[in-house]
Amino acid sequence: MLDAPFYLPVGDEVALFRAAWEARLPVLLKGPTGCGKTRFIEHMAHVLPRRASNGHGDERLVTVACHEDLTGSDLVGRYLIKGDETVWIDGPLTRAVRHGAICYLDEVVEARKDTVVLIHPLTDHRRLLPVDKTGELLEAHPDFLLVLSFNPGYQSVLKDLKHSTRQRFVAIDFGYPPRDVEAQVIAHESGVEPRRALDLATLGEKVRHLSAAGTGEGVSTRLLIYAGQLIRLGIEPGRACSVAVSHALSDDPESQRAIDDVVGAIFG
Amino acid sequence: MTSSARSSVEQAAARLAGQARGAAAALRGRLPELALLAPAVLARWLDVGERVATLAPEASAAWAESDPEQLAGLDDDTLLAFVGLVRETAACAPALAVALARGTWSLLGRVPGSGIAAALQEAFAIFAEGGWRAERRAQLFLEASAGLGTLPPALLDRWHRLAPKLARQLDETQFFTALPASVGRWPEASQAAWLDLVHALAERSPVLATAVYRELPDALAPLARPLRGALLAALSQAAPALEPAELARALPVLGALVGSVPRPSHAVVRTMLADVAAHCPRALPGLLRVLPRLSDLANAERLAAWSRRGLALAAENGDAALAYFALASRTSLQVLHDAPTAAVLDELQGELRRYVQMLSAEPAVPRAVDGVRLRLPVEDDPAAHGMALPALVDVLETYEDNARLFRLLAAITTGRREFGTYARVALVASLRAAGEPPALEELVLLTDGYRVIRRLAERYPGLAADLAWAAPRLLARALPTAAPHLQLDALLTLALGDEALRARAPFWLRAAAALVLPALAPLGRSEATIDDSVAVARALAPLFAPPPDLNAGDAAFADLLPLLLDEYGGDTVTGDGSDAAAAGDEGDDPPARPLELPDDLALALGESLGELPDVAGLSPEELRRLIEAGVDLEMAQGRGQLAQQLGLFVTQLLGKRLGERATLAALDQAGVGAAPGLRLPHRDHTTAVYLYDEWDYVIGDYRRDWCRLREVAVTEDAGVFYEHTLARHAELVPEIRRHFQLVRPEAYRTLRGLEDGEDFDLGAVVDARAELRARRTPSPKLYTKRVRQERDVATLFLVDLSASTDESPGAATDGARIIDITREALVLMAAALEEIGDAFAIYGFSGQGRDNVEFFPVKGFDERLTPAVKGRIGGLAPRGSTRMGTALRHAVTKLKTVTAASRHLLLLSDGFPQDLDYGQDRQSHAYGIRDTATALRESQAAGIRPFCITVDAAGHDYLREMCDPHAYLVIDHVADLPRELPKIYQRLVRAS
Repeated sequence: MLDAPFYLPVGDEVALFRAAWEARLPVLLKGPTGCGKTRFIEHMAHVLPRRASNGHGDERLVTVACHEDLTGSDLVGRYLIKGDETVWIDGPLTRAVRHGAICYLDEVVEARKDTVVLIHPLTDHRRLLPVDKTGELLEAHPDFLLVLSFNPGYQSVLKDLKHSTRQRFVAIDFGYPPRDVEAQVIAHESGVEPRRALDLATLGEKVRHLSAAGTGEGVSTRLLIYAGQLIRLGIEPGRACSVAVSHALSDDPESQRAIDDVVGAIFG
Repeated sequence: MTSSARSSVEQAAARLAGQARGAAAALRGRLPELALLAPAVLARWLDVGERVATLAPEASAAWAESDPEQLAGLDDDTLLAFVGLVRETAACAPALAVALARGTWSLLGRVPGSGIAAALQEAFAIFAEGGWRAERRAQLFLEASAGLGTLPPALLDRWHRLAPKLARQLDETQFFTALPASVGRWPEASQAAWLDLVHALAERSPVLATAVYRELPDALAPLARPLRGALLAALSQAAPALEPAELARALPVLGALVGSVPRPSHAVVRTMLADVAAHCPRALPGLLRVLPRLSDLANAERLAAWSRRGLALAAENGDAALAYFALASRTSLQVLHDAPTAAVLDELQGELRRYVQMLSAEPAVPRAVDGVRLRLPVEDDPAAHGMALPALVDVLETYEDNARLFRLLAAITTGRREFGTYARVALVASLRAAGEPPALEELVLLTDGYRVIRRLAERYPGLAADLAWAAPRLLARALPTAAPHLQLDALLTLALGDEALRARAPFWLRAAAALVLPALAPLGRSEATIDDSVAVARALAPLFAPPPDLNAGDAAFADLLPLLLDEYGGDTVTGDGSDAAAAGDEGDDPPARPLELPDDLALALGESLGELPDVAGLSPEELRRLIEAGVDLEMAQGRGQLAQQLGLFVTQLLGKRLGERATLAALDQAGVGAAPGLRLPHRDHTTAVYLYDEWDYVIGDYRRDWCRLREVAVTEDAGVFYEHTLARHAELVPEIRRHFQLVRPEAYRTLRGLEDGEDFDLGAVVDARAELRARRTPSPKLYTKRVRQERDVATLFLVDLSASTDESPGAATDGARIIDITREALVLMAAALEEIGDAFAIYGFSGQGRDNVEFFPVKGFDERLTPAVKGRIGGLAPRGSTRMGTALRHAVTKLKTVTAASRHLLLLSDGFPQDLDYGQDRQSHAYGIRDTATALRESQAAGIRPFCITVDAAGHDYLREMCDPHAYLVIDHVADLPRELPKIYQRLVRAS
């Protein structure tokens, strides 16, 4: 069996999720981009005990990246014409429901409202998925769990999670980890030496101060890991951070230069 | 007194008694004093008196009052010549002879006989004019020996001819005696220029001329001679073309303004003054006012280049040159900043702001201060998140180096926040409190600077490297003749450096360091706090005693200390005894020492300080900026003495510019450097003030920071008007709703013929099957998909709230005013838009003058149609003028924060753009129309689509000029507006 994906807990999120899993409560992960939500769910999908066998291989986590054009059939499934035949293909949601995996809808607020509403029947005690194209009324596998993620910073008046949807979920807040925890994560994931990892975590902390005023997103842990990897492979730290952080984060020359200046101050 | 001496005096008195009783009495009255004289002196004097009494009795009185010691130095020839002169004069005009004697006796020996003769000739010239006035004037002329001693003979007639011209302001007696003594030390050319200036001004403004006559010479006393000469020459040349009012504003502080020019730039400034006076005289007052700023922003070379550009501009466009030389136009500032190596705050502020915010976790609002130093000023009000930085750094060789230094300085301000400099409550106030040593603030900048920078260097290796790089370069700038505050800077640099650096320092600096550095050492520990810094500074204070003349109790003027020490070459602080006063320049006069400084200063400044709410000691920068900001200065009698001392003279400060200008922050909302819309956080209020440029078509350029816009809250009416309108137009509302609902944003279109999609296109599937059977390749495009019609629009409604909207078009609207109809239209629009969910905002605008443009937020983009918003729509009321350009620019700033694909700006107005100073020519609307047209073009360039709707029947006339043909609409019947507006919106916005 493969090793579980590495995840370093920041707070009590692991315990909370376990409890939600036991009760099969749907979960909403809230947090900015690149702070570990997806890694967290991958990790949990790996370590959680399965009640019943699904007899369909080892697929424990089905991830759907939501976007504006996501339609109901993208989630549930549709007919395809293959040669002479018309074949029903299950969508990712149906697969998870049928075979008992965790279905993870990432950035759910991007999807259209009429699509999101499809999941409502799965989130109450009935745990049903109506598939009207095939006329089925699927009952969810006991190991099925629905997990959504969204980034509250992105919200605009138009793109909003309706209350009828959000009040079906237990919400766990994710944020960027504190400096020393993040340093450990960076060190582990990128293989860079601990001192540098701490410097990178400090850089992350500083750059996130800029977003506090509403001038854009903070730097994700992921980007810092990229920077770490580049440093480990011999790229000079200033250049690595420039490529992985300042230019990745912003196209505004002033912001880029400002972040480069902070990099210069920290790394020497 | 020997009896013989006494008897001689008595005899002389007796002899005089016959002809000049007054003289005799005076003689007797002086007996006690004459008793103290040496007999020989007394004898000679009496002898002279004899001869005078015989030959020219008119001079007896003068002789009787004269100083016997003076005669000791005179030879007989001189005396005889003089007496002869008196005698001749007496033959024609006895009164004149008396005056001559009285006036010129004391000058005997000092002024050549020819001088006296020349004066006499002039007096006769005056006398010849005839009439008792002329006679009197001639007498006064002679009696006031001032002129004769001070001015060369050639200028005497220019001088006395002023007397009648200024007669209204200055009584003739006073005129002649009021000739400032300092003029006597000037070269003849300067004296002539000065007199010509007074003449030129006397025609149009006797008040100003009088001020120039009486007070200007002393105000200019501290200036270097060539500079003063150039200034006077320029003023007198330009005087005929000038507006007296403009010159009057600059006059009281002329000395300080010109004195602020650093020595290296003197030559350039002299040339510049001469050129401007010759080619563009009207620009001279404006130029003089901005001299301090110019000197800070540019070195001599840069200044010369700037001046050449300005003169070239003067040849083409006089008005543009006026704005250019007053640093009021964009071009002017750009040329000045265009030094290839200078790092300019305006350009770097976006980067530096973000940098400091990242490092310190607090926002940062840069404000420009003068001078590049490590010991930047601390913030008076840390909560305002200000950050003092130099306006320009041009002290190193290349641009990159200057920018690096700039970043280092910004990092130091960060360090203050991070390491608790502001943990001490009301830091600045406590440092300037009464009872504290006057140099305390400057010293705390040193000690706390040391503490903060050491901690910064520990925490950020990159900054430590920057510091090590900067230290030797900064040290190279330190000079023994530099002002004390720069020397403190050098000390700080040395303290932060290493042994190698200390070894390279000049001897005088090392000596000072030996005293100061050991005191700083404990501040390098990580537990040191701001209180420790203050304690160390206090301990060091005795080393840096100010000049003994200054009253140590006047702590409120501690800010002026650097200024004074600069101006008057204050006391040495190096401890090695060398005189820190500037080495003599080209034949300079010694500057006047401020002996009576504190009292007069307290007098003058105390009154004005009392009027201002928040000024606890004006810093030199603030004072200078004040002057440039065109603060109206009132000249009062009796303050002339102070003007002599300081050249800095502030009696009354008008206008509220002080708060805003002093905290010259550049917070750029749009995120683009040096763009319009600078935001100054107001010190006392929570309303923000925005500065916008304005297009002046006459000069063909933007006027920088010309208009001030404030956002003003609208009083709500609890939604009464809103509900009322909905009730009134009950039949209209459903119609609008229906109209809008026909084209709903949530509409989905079905796209067919896709290779992948949600569902089958049955028709295509059947065709495909048929193709297959016919053994042809079927098309794979069998699917359909439902796609949402994305409507990503945002609209800003900008409503003209000018006073004219208070009018009622009459019967057509049942007496309703234009403002009421507009409000109704807004209500209906808002109700409809809320239904369909399009993003929109409503703002009103009006104002009065360029300093007070008002912007009224009714609904922002991120607000919903809350009861408060409804109340505000009802609360809109007619106000003042219509400065459309500025309002449009602010609306564009608002729209820039919205990220919609399609952004619209709808302007609802009832007339043309007008305001009390919207252009110099109040009769013409051209300025306003051109500026508005430019603002509309700017909005288009920003990706916004403007549209103007007016209810002014004559709207076509000017809207044609301002807008594109399809970008405006004139509504013929005002009452139709509520019905028409949704239709217009539909056409414009929804069709896009």
